[in-house]
Amino acid sequence: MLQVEHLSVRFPGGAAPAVEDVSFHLNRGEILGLVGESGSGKSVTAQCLAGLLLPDAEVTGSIHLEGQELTGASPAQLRAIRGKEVAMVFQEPMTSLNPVLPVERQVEEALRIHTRLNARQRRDRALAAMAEAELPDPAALGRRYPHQLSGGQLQRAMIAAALVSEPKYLLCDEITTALDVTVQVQILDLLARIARERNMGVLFISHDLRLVKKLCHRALVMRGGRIVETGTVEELFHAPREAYTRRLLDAIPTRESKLR
Amino acid sequence: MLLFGGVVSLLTVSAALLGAFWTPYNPTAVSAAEKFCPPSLVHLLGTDNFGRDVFSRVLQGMGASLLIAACVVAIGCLLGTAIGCLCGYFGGPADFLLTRLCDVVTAFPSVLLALVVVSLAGRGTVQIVLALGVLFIPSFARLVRGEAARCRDASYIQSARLMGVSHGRILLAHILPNLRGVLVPAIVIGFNNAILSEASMSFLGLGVQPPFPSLGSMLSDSQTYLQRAPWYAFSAGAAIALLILGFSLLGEGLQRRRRA
Amino acid sequence: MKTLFSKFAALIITLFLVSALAFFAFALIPADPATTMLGSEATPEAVAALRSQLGLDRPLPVRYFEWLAGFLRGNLGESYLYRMDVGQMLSGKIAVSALLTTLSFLLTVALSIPLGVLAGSVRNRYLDAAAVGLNQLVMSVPPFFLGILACYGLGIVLKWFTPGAYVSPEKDFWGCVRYLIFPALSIAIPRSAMAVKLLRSSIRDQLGQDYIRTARSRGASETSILLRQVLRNALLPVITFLAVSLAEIMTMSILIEQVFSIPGVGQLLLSSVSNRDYPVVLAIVMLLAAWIVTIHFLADLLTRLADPRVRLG
Repeated sequence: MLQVEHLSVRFPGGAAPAVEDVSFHLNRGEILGLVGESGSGKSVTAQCLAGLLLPDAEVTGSIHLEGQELTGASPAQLRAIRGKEVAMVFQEPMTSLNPVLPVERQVEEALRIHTRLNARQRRDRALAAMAEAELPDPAALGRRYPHQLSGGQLQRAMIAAALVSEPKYLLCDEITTALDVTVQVQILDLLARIARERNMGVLFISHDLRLVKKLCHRALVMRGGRIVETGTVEELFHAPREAYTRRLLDAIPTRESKLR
Repeated sequence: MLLFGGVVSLLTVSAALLGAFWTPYNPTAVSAAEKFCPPSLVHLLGTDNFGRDVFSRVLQGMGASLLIAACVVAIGCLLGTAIGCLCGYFGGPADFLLTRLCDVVTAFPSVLLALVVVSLAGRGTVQIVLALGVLFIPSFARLVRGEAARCRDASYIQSARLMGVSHGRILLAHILPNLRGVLVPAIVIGFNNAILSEASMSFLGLGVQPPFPSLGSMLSDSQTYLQRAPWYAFSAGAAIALLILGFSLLGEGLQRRRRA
Repeated sequence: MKTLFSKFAALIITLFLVSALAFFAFALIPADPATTMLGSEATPEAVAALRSQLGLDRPLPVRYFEWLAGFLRGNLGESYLYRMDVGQMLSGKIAVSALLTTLSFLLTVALSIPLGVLAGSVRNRYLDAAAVGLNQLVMSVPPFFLGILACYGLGIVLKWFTPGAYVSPEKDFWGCVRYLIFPALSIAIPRSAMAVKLLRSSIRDQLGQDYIRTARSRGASETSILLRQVLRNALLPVITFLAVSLAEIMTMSILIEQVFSIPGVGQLLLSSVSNRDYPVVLAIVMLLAAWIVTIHFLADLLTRLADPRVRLG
């Protein structure tokens, strides 16, 4: 279980904390949605979990990963967890991959860092992960460079790169935002299947409530750095207790939801 | 950086200005009794092989360097701006040819080109100013051309054209003022290059001719007496380095501020 | 492939134009070489005879194409002053200058890349400011002054070498290299400072990119991010700069040869300029121009090869 208690993050020079007193937990095999408008602290929360915040960010509270305390852990300890226990996928697939390295080389990167597998074993695992992320012809695709792939393919490659070291938790930060609607749906199906098959906990961050409703079991609603509401997706969508959640729901174009 | 460069440049320029009106000794006064005096309170930077006061000569030499650099940059900047403006604004085959020509000329180091020009036109102060001036045109022309071409496509220029404003008026009233941002750092950096080029040519004996004092030819003379009077070489060389340092810091600072 | 071909065509055309420009410029100077060679007391008949012997009485375009054809076949012309084949005059000197240029270039690369990486990875603000300031200072020292400083400090005071005691490579190759190290350093240090500045800012740019965040999210250490992810991207602009540096280094070596009294191409060029020995100047200028234009072409090619976005389109 990934457990977050009273997490607060403050950046130097920032008047208000970016994240304030946030508590939640994420079970393995569960998909937890995190919704809110931009600037609500969603990404900061995820980056804090992944340990990617700048060193001068001031973090208080506690993050427990399978019983291990992460706040206050040494950089080396955090590096051993990042990419191994907790992997992350980002919003912009086009810029999130290194432009001068072939895709396959980047998919296997986590194995290079966290395992002692040889080049051949790494390659086999990388190709398997790419196949699992439903990339067609992984061997051929892996030799190509990021600029030669489409956004959807790149995002699948990013997911493959995250899966390759078999992490227990996956943090997805707006991973469908930069993609076409049809590709978005495919990526969601992929995530749902992987979470089920691998018994992996997924934190799905999005500003798009429809996606959260389609994919997640539970969801958190954030606003101004705080969690304003939490519950199962059914509860949130059918009987929102908070006015803010209701407003977010009202903002969904109804005609489109009818069409679906 | 801007501040520090400004201070160094201000110091060197005021020293040169001072040297133009007043020097502690007559820089060309020969004194057989005072040959190779080391630096002292009487002669701040010592004396040279003819017993001339090095400090006075350096002051005058700095003035000469700055004056030549100013003339070179003035020629290069004025003609370069004119050519670049017309090319960038009107385009066409003349623009294509001139741009190619500028590309070729800027590929060659200016000292090499100046060497060719001097070997054709003969040595002398006027020749070196004209030669370097002409060689500085392409770099300015290239810079201005790019900026002018961008301005031409801006919507406010297009609308000015539609309102029937003449080409000449657009060039003077709209495009020229827009060039200030790129020209100011370029002039400072050009100054820097001009000082180095002039010093190099004079060092080779192909620039400013004696008895007109020049830091480059002083450095070249001093080399013969390096063992007996190292202060002579140090003073002349340090003066060149100081001039370049000031303007390079200033140029760098200006460019950074422009980008920021 | 198509761009490669058109680039190559542009290279040939540029070389052709540069050669024509240089030839006509030197042909149009007022001084008559025949008069220069024979002195001002020569009879008009003797001058005319020499003119026709040198082929100066024929139309310019004919002379140009003859000269070009000869040049391409390795006949670089004949010195007015020494009545000697320019190729012969150059033969030993080219080796010396090439050695000096190569040494300077290798030193520039060897100094700038590690120092640039170091400068790019400095986190401390004050240390960074100090490094940038020092770098700017080193950049401002003209190579010929640095050479004089080296002659004084390392030569006269520390006696690591004797300024002016040049050894020819035929006699003692390693002795020659040992002597040339100091002039090569004088060229390489300010050049490296410029490359360090470029590499530092290039690394800073890359460190702000999204793919760095990805690498961090995989648990990569900062050192491995720098060396395995950032460096290849950050070096792209530096490769071009270093390649183009070969042209600048060549020019700087003309000055440095003066400082260290190295009998290379630069010294021959300077004495020929002073003596108005135009065939020699023309030949050297053409060789340098061909070298510079080719270097720019290769630099462009190298950058394309190193960047898959350009290479694979």
